[in-house]
Amino acid sequence: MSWLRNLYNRIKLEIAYRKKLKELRKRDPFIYK
Amino acid sequence: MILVAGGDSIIWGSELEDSPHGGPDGYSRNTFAALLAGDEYHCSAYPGIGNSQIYSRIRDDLTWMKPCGVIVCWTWPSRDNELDSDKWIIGLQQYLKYHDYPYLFTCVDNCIITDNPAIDWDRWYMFPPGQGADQTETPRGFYQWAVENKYSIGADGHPLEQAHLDAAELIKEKFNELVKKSI
Repeated sequence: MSWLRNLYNRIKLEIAYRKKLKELRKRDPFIYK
Repeated sequence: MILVAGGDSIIWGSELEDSPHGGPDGYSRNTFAALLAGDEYHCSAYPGIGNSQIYSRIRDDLTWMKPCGVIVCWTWPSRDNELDSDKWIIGLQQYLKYHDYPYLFTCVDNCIITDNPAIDWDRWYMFPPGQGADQTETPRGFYQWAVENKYSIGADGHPLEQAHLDAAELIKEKFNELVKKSI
């Protein structure tokens, strides 16, 4: 079952990364609309 | 002796009166980087680019020219779909140090600042923290500093001439210490 836990952790990390990137994009007034 | 400046539209000088277009030689001579450089100035910046391109454009230009110094205003890391731009900053820092180019780094927004000890933060100029309740309380990037101090902004959001003029005045001491004294 460790593959399932690994997959879950990778998805969790990917979601956190995308969320942080989205927040960061909002700081760029010339690109973020 | 030429000074090379890297960055995005802020260093290109978009919306400044003497920047007529985004084509060859369309960059402004009234950005803070150009004002610090004086007459002999080469602009490697280009509107809309990310830090990976800022890095590459300077590296490309340094293959055919030997400037007396380099000034870089790093942009938002999210343009490269990255949370930080440490690899580009460190890459350029190493290249400039290896080839003995005096340089000064700054940024448009302090979101680029990390706690990475490999970055030589002593060679950065950060704009002073804001005092007001709605201002950034930590050292700021040029764009944050200009907007929070309510400098005139163009229709597309770029700080205009006065912000660059005052920024050049603020950066001058650090620039003289790190770049000009080595010339």
